[in-house]
Amino acid sequence: MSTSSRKEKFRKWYGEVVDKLGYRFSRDEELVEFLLEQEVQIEKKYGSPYCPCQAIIGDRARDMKIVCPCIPFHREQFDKMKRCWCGLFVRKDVPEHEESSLQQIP
Amino acid sequence: MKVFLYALSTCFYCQRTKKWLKENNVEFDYVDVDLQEGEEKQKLVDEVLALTGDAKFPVVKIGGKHVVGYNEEKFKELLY
Repeated sequence: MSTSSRKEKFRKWYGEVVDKLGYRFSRDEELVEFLLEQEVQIEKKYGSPYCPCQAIIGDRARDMKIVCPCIPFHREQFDKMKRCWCGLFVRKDVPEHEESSLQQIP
Repeated sequence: MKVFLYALSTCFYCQRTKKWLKENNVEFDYVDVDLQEGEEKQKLVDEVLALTGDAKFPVVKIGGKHVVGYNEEKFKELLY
């Protein structure tokens, strides 16, 4: 499967999954395109689309918790930040004009 | 003050951190952890785990302190 068609698969599938979790894609299309592209490459290299902004540490149980979309495993933190760590997904209740001011909170 | 960035080449905000540091004329060294191999890569991941208790990126070490995530205010606080 080509990178672009895999990217589109991710876009469709993630969209459906995160919608049920109360999230949506970021409206920053440059960021979304970049991150989806990275996830396709990460999946090719490591077998799963791990979060592009978190390292695989070699502990399988922990590493499975960073496979995108990883919202269910980081619910408290992401709900507080109103976005996921890498910024691919944003909570649906965030107005568009506030989106760019959301911060990563460790 | 010595500034060091632990980054992933796949991370959007790591790229943005590099850009911010350059734009603000901050001299820094960095490593893209995911582009390293074998023992060196594991060593860097272990360093980030020891420093932050997690493996989220970017991590910016400024002097003896560090910032996890892209946060301009915190960068400025530690730099200036």
